Amino acid sequence: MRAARRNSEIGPETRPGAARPGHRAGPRRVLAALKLYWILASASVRAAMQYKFDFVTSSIIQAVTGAIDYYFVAVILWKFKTIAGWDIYEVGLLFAVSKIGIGIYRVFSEELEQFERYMVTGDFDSVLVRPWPSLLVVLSRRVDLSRLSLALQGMGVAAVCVPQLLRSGKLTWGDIGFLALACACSAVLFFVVGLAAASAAFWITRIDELQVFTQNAPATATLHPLEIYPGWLRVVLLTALPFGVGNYVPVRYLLGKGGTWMNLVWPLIACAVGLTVSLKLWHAGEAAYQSTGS
Amino acid sequence: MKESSIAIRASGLKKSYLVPVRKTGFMAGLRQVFSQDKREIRAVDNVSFEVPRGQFVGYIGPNGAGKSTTVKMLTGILHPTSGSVTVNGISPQRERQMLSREIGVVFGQRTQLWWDLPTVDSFDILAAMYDVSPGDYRRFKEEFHDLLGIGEFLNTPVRRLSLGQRMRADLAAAMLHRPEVLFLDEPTIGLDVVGKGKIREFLKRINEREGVTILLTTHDLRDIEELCDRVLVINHGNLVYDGDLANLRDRAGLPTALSVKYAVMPPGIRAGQYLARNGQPSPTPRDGAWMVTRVDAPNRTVEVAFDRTRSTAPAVLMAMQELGEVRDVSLTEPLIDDIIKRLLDDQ
Repeated sequence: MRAARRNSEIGPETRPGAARPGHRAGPRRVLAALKLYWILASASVRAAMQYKFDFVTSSIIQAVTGAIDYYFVAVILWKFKTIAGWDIYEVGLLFAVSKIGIGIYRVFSEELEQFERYMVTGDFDSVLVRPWPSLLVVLSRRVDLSRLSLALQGMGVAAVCVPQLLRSGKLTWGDIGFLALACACSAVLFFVVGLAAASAAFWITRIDELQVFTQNAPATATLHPLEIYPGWLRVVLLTALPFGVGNYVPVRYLLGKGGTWMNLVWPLIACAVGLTVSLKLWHAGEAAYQSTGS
Repeated sequence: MKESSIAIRASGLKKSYLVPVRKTGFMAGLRQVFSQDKREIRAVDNVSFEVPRGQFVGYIGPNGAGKSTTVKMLTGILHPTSGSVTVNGISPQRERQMLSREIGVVFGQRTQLWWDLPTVDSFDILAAMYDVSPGDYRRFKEEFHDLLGIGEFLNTPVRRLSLGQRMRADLAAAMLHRPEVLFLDEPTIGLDVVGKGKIREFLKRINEREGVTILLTTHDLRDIEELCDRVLVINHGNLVYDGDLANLRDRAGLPTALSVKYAVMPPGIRAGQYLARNGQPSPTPRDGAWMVTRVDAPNRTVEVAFDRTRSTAPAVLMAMQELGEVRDVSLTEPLIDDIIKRLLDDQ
């Protein structure tokens, strides 16, 4: 009988606390995680393609709403020529870095934006019975390619603004690499704030309004130069909700509007600190998870 | 008991929640928002038990008793407020990911499959997630087609499966990585008789042939009767019974019914009468006489109720044989729902 065979197999590997096969650590585990992420993410894209109409309309709606964001900024600039000393192409660069960042974030982390559902329905239970970190399982549930439209808007605006700024000598070709880094940092900072807001759901369950307050509003605010805001709001956008560190801080230095080379390093530091804090918050939340009744 | 022979160990397990005290009266809703008043709800309170490897345990109790909360603590979903748990010697809270490779979990009310994808895609994903080798995965599909008929709906999206098919798919998915311990939270809920039968047959097989330890919560007490070696009853977060079903029946003290069909209907016997140990009918209960609960003259059948803790079925039968020639005999145990209700009423 298999039960008897199993009992006879109880050896050092299956003693309490002993390491089990399959629970690898180190680089192999990371590679295995990436492979699993790829499999799960591909599955999520296949699942999304079951609803092609929804995919197409959602992409179009996001592209249009994003264009409206820039339209409002552009209208002000046509009227006043500059905002706090920033012309339309310079503001366009802020817009582009932010939109590319948020686009990348939303493609890979859309499930965090919907995380409230996991708490309300208790779906997080099924995440916790898998042999992988819960964040990996949650993120891989949905890769939302329709959110690429956000990044494409940013790239479109960059395609117009960057050549103008290169021609006017405000940017050099060497700055393009730093701009790409700024976009990546911006994406990470959106992830940091998104993860922290999602983690709050472990304690307060409903986070829709919190997500609007911590992401949508400040993300829109950082489409403009921070000089137009009062001091306290600038502090918020450079610390607690650090989206300004992702676009304003490096772009300001690259356009020669102030700051030092440290403006290019601060986004990296903010990403490292932010990731550490929000991951700790997530793990604390996981332990505090209350589930729902059955 | 040797550590290695224990699959599940719960010790002083407690889970409590703080919930706001509901306000009443003037502007209750607004006062509720600013209120700091909280009270403690103990979902599970000081529960301890051990389950040896290979045992099939029924974990039962009324709604809100703490069954699902216990299962969630045993599987690492919830962290206990106090007490400790080990499953296969592993702490579900400290080593959740490691434990996940050794257990299977099925929540009857919630699928763990990928809703919009064909069922086989869910199995493919889980095979990758649990590092199941291609050979083992191929064997799984063949074996589980035989056991649960999963081949019939492998290419159907999960959202289009019937409840019975979905539950079979969920069970197969939970067994894909060959776990040693299986936690089932109401796996037969909502299924028809045929569906329940298939699931029970499957569970019995994997428990008996493969030695999988199973802890099952259910409201369908036929699951318990047909499958479980042992029953744990929980009520208001406390374990109120731990033993086998026969003892539970005895403890509840509800009557068992012995029904006898005679060659010729005995004269003068009526429902409500008593039957003495010497087989003589009596209008009053005396000297341990048993009550005649049903008389069906056209079918020549008489039913007598007796308490298993005080009498045995052969003793009752001997008395009933005094009434006439017996053609057929049947024994009906009390319904398990009634047993649980009686047990909880006595607490």
